[in-house]
Formats: sequence, structure tokens, C-alpha cells
Amino acid sequence: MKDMDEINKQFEYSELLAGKVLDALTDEQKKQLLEWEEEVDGNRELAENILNAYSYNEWQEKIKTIDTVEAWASFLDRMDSSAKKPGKVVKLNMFKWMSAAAAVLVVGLALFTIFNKTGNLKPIEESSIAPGSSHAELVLSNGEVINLDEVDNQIQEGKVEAKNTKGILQYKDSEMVASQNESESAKVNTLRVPRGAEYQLVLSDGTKVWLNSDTELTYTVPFIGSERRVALKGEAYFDVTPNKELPFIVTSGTQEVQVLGTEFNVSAYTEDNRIITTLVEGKVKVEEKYSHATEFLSPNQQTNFDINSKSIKKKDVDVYPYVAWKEGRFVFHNVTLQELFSKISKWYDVEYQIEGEKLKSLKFTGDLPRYNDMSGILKIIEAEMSVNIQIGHNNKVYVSE
Amino acid sequence: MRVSGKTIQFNSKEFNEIFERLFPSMCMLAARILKSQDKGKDVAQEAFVKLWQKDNEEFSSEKALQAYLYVLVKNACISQIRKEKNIKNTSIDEGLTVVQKSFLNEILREETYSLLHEAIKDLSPQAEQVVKLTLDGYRNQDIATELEITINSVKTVKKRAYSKLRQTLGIQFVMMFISDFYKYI
Repeated sequence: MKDMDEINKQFEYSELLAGKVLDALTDEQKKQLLEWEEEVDGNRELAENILNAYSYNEWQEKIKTIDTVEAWASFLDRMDSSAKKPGKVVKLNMFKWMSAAAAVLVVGLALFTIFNKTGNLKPIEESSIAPGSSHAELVLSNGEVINLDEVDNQIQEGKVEAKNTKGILQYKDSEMVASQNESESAKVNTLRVPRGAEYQLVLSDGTKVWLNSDTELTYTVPFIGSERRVALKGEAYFDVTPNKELPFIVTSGTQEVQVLGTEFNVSAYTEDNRIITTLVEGKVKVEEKYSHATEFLSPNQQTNFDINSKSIKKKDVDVYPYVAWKEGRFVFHNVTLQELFSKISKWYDVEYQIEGEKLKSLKFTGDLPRYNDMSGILKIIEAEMSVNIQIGHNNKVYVSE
Repeated sequence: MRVSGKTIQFNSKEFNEIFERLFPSMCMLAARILKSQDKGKDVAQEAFVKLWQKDNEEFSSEKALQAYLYVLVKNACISQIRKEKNIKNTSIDEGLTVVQKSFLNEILREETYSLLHEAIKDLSPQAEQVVKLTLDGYRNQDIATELEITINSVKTVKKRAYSKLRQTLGIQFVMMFISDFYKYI
């Protein structure tokens, strides 16, 4: 496109002009700039006109008046209306915001009281909350989204082929990796598993991955270069096909787990603010990408990576509670009610509310089935912890004393 | 839409960041061409909306996306000018060549100023003075005298600003490796 080429040229010349101001041009660049000035009548004048304090000051004054926050709000607004979804971004000043928030709070409190009094909350026995099931979405590199509930067959994108059956997406075995010059034919795919679901994946090198609820895994098919790299958000269990030449790397934010062939679990939910890597078999390296802080794990060891401080702590653990989800169990060892509900609510796709800090920090130990109705699990928790559990609208779980 | 190999949504945090970086330039350019700040804002927003109406656009870098946006801004400005002047006949061609040329000139101005702005914005206020005096035609020795610093300090300030500029360019032009595209939020 001619326009784009011309604009790219301007990008280059802007570098030369800015570089000139900062005395940073090489001889080659000086020559280039001179040629440009002579190339077309008026270029030299243009350069002088641009490299001028008055004009720059004027620009600086104007750019300060542009409110990108406001512009962004009205951009979103336009996008909504262009998608035929009438919706208006209402701008409120601070005071209005606060009164609006206060109003919501009052209404909320009133509703909560009414709910409680009129007994709209049901006891566990009267409710049924189905467990999660196998479904997922596959995002192809051209952006197309395939719903894997409906497809039970072959998926093809370019040279990449995959088979989808019974909750398992399996890529066709391919040459382990594409060389750099073939990398264009490689496709970036993302498997997205929503709340209330799980899925299994077999990558092009044969590595098996179990994806837990609310999880995304991104990878190329085939792998590119001298490594096998995937990016994880959420929780997954990896059974990596051994290959000494091609390390398998799981990236979650700035944490990288590097392995040659082994079994391990990574739990990297954004809201947890930490990444737990648990090793079942083999050996892995856990590294922070920028500081290069590193820990090596042996079987039955685990690292806790703090997303805020970027520190990595290692400890010995019983791995079973951390990988049991893949075997159809929820296993908890001395975890707080808060953590417990954070886990199971993803699988049953429900909201929850625990009343008071004291209840949230109660510790629970137990081994619960994953594929049963949630009411069974809730009954056990209610009995074990001597708490009261009720079910509200949309199966929201309320835990109180 | 995909940028540097990463798929992004219009209402995502990633796109918000791109918007915040690119909107001012688009707005400034349109405002100067249309000689109205309000119309400029409007046209710039229209360009961002248009960007999303075409599916499956793929950009190798943020810079490529920016070039594309400039084209959208230009087209929007031209149709705005047409509307205002109610031009329907052949004389448009002549007028449009002029517009095309002044567009490229203004893009050059916009980009040069943005670069200078990026180069000095996180440095000491002295860096801004050095740049402005240079634009006023002062030589390094004159700047040193004016600001009562040594000529070496002037040179150091310029060097530091230039290395900031290179950093910015590096980020904008980098064609990220596919494996690096994923950023934890």
C-alpha cells in the first residue's frame, strides 16, 4: 500500500530529525538527511519549520489538552453503539459517583435484609449444582474461535491438523519443531477453558496437558526454534514428552518453568497473586525472567512465586492435594475456607460469600469427589466445619456461622 | 485484531494502552488538517472505530498499526473536507494532492515531536531546556553558557535523551517473538 510506505518513510525521517537535535546522527545518517532535503523542493524548509522552538512549544501546549481518558470512554461508547448494542457511557463527577455508590450500597443492604428475612436462601438439600464438564474454545491464529463442545471431528488450519474427541484435543504428530524459516507456517493456537469446565490437550510433540477451569494455554503448532514454549494462565497439569534437545518451557507472567521431560502442575490464577509449581516426577527449573532468580525442584517439592515481590520460595510437600483435581478429586490439606471456595467455585461456576474474617480463615482438611453435585460437598463442609451454608439466587453460596 | 502476534480485543487493557499512546498523535494531526480541535478529536475516534470494523487485521508491530491509523485519519479528514466543501466534481483531485502532501508533512512533524517528547519526558527539566534551546538555533557552547553548565553536561544530556529515544523506538518497532507475546496482566 502506497500510503503505508510513504508514512513509514516519514517515520524514518522523524528519527533523523530528532536525532539531529540530539547530535546523535552518524555520518551515514547525516548524508541521508541531506539527500532528503535536496530531493524535493520544500523539504529543507519543512525541516526548518519543524525544528523550530516556537512550533514545538505550540505542539507541547496542545498535546497537554488532549484527554485520553475521556477519549477512551467515548471510543468504547462508539464501539458499543456500532455493535448495535445501545449503551451510553455516562460521565459522572466524583460527587455523583459517590452518591451513586452510596445508593447502590443502600439498595444492596436493603435487598440483603429482605432476602435474609423472607428466606429466599435455600438450604443445601433443596438445591442442585451440577459439576463442571468438558468444554472449551479453541482460538486459531487467524482469530477464528471454534467451540469444542459442538465439534467432534477434525480441525485444520494450514498444515496444522487436530482431532477433537471426548474432551481431548489432540494435534497430529509433526516434526518436533519448525526451523526458523519455516516458522511462518506455524500457527499460534489458544485453548480456553471457562469456569465450570476442564479439558485435555495433546500437543504436537505428544505432551499431555490437563487444563483446569478458568484456564488458557497458548502455544504454537508445531513448536518453533530450539525449545517448546507454552504460555499458561490458570491451572494445568503437564506430562511432558522427554526430549533432551528441546526444553519444554511454561511461561506464566514473568515466571518460567523449564523441563526436559517430566510431570508437574502449575497453578497461576491472576487473582491468587502467586504461582504454585508442584513437581511430581523428574526435574524442573523455575526462573524469574528478568531477575533470573532460580530454583531447581526435585519430586515432592514445590515453589511459591510471589507475583508482586517476584520472589521464589521452595518447600517439600505432599504433591497429591495439588494434582488430585486431575484424578477427579478435590483434596485439601489444612487450607482456609476462603482458598477452598476459591477452588471449587471455579469448577461449579458459582459465586460465593463467606461472612466474616473468622470464618474465611477456618482450616479444612478433606478429600472430596469432583464429579458429583456440589450439594454433597457443601454438606460435608457444613458438617465438618460447623457452619451454616445456604444457596441463593444463581446458586450463589452463602456461608455463615 | 492481532498486534505482534498477539490477539487483542477492543476493550482489553492492551488496546487501552495502545490507544493512550496513539490517540494524541492522531488527534493532533486531524486537528491541524481540519483546523479544529473538536473535529480533530472526532475524526481520530472515528479512525479507531474503523480500525475495528475490519476484521482480521494483523500488524507486525505497534508502529505498523500506527501507520495504518494515520491512513484512516487521512481518509476521514478527506471525506470531512469533501462534506464541508460539498465537492463532487473533478476538481477534488487537485485539492487532494495538496492534502496528501500536507498530510505527510504533518506526520513528520508529529512523529519528530513525539520522539523528542518521549526522549526528554522522564529526564530532568534541564533536558527540555537543552532541546528547546537547540531548536532555537543555539549551539552546544551557547547552551552551556545560557544554562551555566559545562559543554560536556550539554552533550551528556543529549546523549541520555537519545538513548531514551532509542529505547522507545525499540519497543515500538520490535517484532516480538511469538513465544514472548504473552504478558501476564
